[in-house]
Amino acid sequence: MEHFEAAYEFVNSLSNRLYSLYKQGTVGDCNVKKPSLFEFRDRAKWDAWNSRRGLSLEEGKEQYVELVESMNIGWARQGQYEVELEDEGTQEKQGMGASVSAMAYDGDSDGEEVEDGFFFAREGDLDKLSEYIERAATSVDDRDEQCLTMLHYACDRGNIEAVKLLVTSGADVNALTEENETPLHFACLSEREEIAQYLIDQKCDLTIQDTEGNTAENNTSSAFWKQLRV
Amino acid sequence: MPSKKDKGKAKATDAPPKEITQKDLEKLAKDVDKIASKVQHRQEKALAKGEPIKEKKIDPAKEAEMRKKIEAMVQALSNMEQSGAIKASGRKDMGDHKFWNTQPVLQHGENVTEEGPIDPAVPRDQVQQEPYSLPKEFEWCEVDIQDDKQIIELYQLLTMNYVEDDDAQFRFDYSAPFLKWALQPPGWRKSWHVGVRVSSNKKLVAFISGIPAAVRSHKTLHHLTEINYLCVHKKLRSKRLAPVLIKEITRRSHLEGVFQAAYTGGIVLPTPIATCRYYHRSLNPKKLVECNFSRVPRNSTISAMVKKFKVAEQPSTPGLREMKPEDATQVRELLNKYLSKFDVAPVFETDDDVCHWLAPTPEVVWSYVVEDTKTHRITDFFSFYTLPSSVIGNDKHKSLNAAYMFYYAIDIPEKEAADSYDTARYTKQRLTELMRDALVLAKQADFDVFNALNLMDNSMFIDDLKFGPGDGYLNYYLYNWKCRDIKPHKVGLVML
Repeated sequence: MEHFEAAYEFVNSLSNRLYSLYKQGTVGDCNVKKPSLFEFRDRAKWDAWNSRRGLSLEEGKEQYVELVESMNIGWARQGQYEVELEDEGTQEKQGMGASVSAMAYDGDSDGEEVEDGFFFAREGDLDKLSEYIERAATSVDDRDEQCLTMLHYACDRGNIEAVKLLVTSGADVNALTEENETPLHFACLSEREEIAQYLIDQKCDLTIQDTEGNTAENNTSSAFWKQLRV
Repeated sequence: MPSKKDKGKAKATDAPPKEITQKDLEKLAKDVDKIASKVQHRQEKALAKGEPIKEKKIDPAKEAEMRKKIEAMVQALSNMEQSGAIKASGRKDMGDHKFWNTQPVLQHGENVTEEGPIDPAVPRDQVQQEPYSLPKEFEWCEVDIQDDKQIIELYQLLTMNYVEDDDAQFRFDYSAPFLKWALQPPGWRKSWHVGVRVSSNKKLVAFISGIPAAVRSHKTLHHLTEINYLCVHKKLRSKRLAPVLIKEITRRSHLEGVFQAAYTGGIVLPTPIATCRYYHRSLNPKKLVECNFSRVPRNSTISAMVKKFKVAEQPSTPGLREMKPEDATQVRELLNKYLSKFDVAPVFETDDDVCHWLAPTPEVVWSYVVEDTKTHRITDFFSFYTLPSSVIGNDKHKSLNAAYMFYYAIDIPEKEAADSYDTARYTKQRLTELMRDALVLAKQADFDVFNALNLMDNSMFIDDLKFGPGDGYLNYYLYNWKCRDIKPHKVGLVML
């Protein structure tokens, strides 16, 4: 039986590890004479114990318990348990039955993401955003191709800290998109309570209507608007 | 300076029976794909425009040539798989073709000349009487759906171990009331709710179910078993329990004199009769983005998505109301008539069937009818059911509330019925109105997304109502029945 020896060796080394922690946890540092090289069973046990030198009784016991638990052979601090088989790795996710689907996404068609201020505002990356604002030759109210400001994006994605950073850096709280939407419109549409409150506290204009004639309030649910202190 | 490799290649091309290379296969697969999607696209375009579909006569010589090519491709593929030149799908258990080769199912590349059973029916006393044997640590059981304790056990098995998407982000979370509904239609059999327990501690670790159903494929009506909810505990996937479960439910069907079955699956087995694609209509785009179900397209915003997917506060179709059990007779007639135009569809044989499947059941299925305000006749019907998914490893959301399009039917007024163009135009317009209301009602019921396959006449409204294509497909199968291919828009069967 070709696997027998390998199995024996594996168990042997495991029992040496257990032995070493047991001794360290009950006796402490190795205090017996080193067996000669020819007594290899005893020598291996001695080596194992000796390798734990310096570990306290408490640590030795704790590591013993951890080792037994980690083997997953039916015992844990909580008590004995039924051993379950390991995952196979090749798990059947879609079998017989229905099939789980999410929105298809063609990542390539969007093209490369440009790491600019608009990107940092979307991602809420404060360090990079503040660096960008400081270094940018242009204004904090600049528009991207969608005619949105960084503040619009920060509101849209709910990045409150980025919103505060932009506003304290002088961003216009009433900046308008091509559809006449303010940052508050965005905060209300995407239901960002904290941000909407912050913009209102910054005295943004609540009366601005988008091209469809809706104020930020009209554009959101009454439940959302009611939470805000206007 | 020819290298060793080049020499080898030259030799191979000299050899008389030219070996098919992986490149050839890829090219051929692309060609087949192109043709298939061209046809599909043409038909979907017609449907989306509200035009009737013209079945183009295929040149038989061309078809034969194509078929030969496909057969060669499939043969080469399986040779390569066996030789280890390409990796098999990695789906060891379910997709195991060694298992499916032994089953009475259409094998890949097999041509259907005549519809009919593959294996003959056998008298009851010749059916194997003993259950198939299981690995020694397991035992068979019947899961008693009416016992609250057992339905919870089944729910827990499924919610932790059932179907996930490829990226393991979502896993179906069928509720206990839903399972009760899905597994106990009129004529249900306890012996078809088959479980496997660990002998030592009686833990439920696998399940498969069958329910009786009347399903027509082309011109044949089958009283068959609908197989569903095949599930094996994640830690036992190496035990090859799935094939035994399939064989056992088959044996139990045979004992009841049923020799055909219908089932669906995300994976490709031998051999689908139809393949449909999922489409999704966002109702709560912000949550869908947060769950990574959908993404914000670059150059767009969540705010723009919220605006785009906003629906009306109230439905707008005059005479629309919730369906009542008393409507069953009218709904049954309307629905059976509508479903008769599809190539595979259920037949609702009794009012009880309709009441069970289609009358509203709280937290399970939502159903509506349009009652003509003057004649009080029911002219239209639609329904959707709930199937949430657990969101795996998300801090913010635990569950995604999805509504799935179920059955619907419309009455085609006489003046539109005579001409196929009029019928198609009316169908598109009417369905779009009704489904717009379905979205409103689903939103009111707090669903995050409305899902539909591109089956029945769904292609007529999915674009106009802002559904987007999904990454999931659903394959339809018949067991022990040779059936010609069916296009998605000719599928009228919805499985839960």
